[in-house]
Amino acid sequence: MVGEYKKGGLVLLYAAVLFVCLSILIPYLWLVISSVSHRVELTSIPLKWIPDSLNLENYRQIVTGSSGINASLKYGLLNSLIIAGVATLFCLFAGSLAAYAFSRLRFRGKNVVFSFILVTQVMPMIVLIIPIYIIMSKIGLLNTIPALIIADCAFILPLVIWLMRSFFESIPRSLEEMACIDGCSRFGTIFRIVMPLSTPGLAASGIFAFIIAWNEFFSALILSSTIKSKTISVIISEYSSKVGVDYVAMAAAGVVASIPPVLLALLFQKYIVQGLTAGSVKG
Amino acid sequence: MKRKVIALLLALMLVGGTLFASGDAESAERITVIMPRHEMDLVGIWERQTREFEESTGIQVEFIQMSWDEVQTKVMTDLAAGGNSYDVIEFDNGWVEKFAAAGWVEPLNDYGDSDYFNTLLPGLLNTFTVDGKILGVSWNNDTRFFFYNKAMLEKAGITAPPRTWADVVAQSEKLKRAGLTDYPIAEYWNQEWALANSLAFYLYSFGANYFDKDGNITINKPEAVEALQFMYDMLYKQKIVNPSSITLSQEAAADLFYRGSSAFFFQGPPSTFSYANDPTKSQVVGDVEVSEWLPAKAVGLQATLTLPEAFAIPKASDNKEAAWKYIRYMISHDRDKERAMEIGSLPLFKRSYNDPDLLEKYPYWVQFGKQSAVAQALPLVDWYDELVQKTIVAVQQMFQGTKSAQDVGDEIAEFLKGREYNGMILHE
Repeated sequence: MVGEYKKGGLVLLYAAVLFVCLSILIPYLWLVISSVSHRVELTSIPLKWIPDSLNLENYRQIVTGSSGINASLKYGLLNSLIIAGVATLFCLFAGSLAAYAFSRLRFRGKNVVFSFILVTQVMPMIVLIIPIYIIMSKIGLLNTIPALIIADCAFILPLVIWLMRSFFESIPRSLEEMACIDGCSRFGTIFRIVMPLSTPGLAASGIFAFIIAWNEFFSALILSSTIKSKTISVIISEYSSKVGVDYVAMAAAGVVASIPPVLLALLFQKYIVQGLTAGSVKG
Repeated sequence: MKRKVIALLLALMLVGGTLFASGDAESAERITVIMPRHEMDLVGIWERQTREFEESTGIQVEFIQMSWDEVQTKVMTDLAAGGNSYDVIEFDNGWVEKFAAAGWVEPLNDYGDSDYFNTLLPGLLNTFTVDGKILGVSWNNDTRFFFYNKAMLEKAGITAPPRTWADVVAQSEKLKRAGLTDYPIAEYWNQEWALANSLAFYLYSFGANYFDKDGNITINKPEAVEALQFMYDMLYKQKIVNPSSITLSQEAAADLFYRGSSAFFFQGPPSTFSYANDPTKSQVVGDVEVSEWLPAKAVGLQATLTLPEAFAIPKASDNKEAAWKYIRYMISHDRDKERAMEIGSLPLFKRSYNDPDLLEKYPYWVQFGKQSAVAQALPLVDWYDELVQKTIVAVQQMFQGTKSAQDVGDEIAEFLKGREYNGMILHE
């Protein structure tokens, strides 16, 4: 009887897992199918799940084209890689140090300062974009990659500080005390003891920071104008015209844009799971 | 350890400094052009012609192309902030009065001569002229046309497209009885800007308008209310308009036409014919025809919308002469004909409509020319965007059944009361 209940519970669990997986994978699968279909197949009734013939024209233009939106996608991809990469590395470095300070150091107003940092996360970007635009314009950074890196860091850094602080709290202080006894300096302790133990947390924070920076659209739209600094998310939005959207081309661009974050997530998935579950079990 | 940290910090500063280092030494004259992508330009011909301009003049162009909504956001933000980020800007037909009232754009009368301006289509030139000042030169002749599925009509025994709205209803019911379609018409009546365009078309076709040239508000008078009621009745009484129309965009409505679900497309963009004959986009290849006329309450009330876009030079631009050179180059008969031949965009010059090369490639432009004779612009007021917001909400409420056609007319009339138009105050 107990065994039957256990089996039944297992079936339900796997059914729920299958449902979640399908609800995540099917939209992406449809994106891929749309990207190699012709528009007439996407609007036909009944719906054609598998196209009669593959339409690879958009992918060809993305790779070899010299003009048009498809051709500019590769520049957007490069810009996004640079912006997301640099913003992630900077936020991991600065955020980890700040998180360590909030976790380990004692100073007046520590909790108030930490709360202020978190409060910035609740401010919608649309409230901040005009002052950011004016500042970037005054210092001559409009339509440049550094402007977008700075804008991304402004809202990613608090998240990294918050995540890493939680992770540092789960690392026993006794390890640092032992290192100190052995003559290790504070920075030495951080880089030799704490950071290596924090690899899962760094990976989890890093992947979140990268995805946020990669997907960021609004500040990129306002601060960039040409392919000198346009990100892939801005270029994808340009597939819409006054009278409609080129869905097939946009789907192809979406597939291309999804490759780097998906690869990163696959590479670091072990660390992400560790990072998200670290500290969940006491003792 | 300390040395390593210092080295790391120095490296970061170096990288940061490199990233911050800005570029290029100022050499050639530079202008910045911002415009939406032409809906038919899938091959990048505007960008290509811009590069040709650079080669022939030596003037460097920072060429910004984005979706229409994004361009609107960027242009409005920059102009309102008094910025001079752009030298040639998108100038939509709906912005003419607003920009003129705000004094944001440079009159172009002294830049070009009358020989040039007189070669442009008068309707396009006049749309962007205020009090004799030419504020923009059109780059997109976005006139809307009536297309129909000739094959469906022939199967139902209909020999010609409808001339009146009564004909539309009769032919639609015939198509339904023949089992050819459940809903012969699909409209774009989603609560967005395009709904206001659609309403304007129906108002004009009933001989109605929001107000008349003497400043009398007419949106709540019988002719306008009849137009509103007709839109409602087509949906719920005659049931000849697809009920999903109240959530359809222009593109979604067009997709139903290309799929053969609807037989009439009253206000399609010029690209509709070529899309309908593209087998990768359409299931009605060879079935679509361009009408020589548009349906209206009476034959003499025919109207179609023209929604052109233009280039303008902001008053704050530091490179006005170079900006004009760009406009003059791009909006020339030769460049315009090249675009027409390659992507099928409607010409901007009068003589192009008699061009044998173009007429051989696009014989249906003869019908376009006939419909263009009754083209009308949207209301030219500097508060048009506010009128659009008021209108689309009220009309959607009518479609939802919470307001009657008269209620909608009265509500819009109340909004119009006291507004300024051409030096007059609108009144009932």
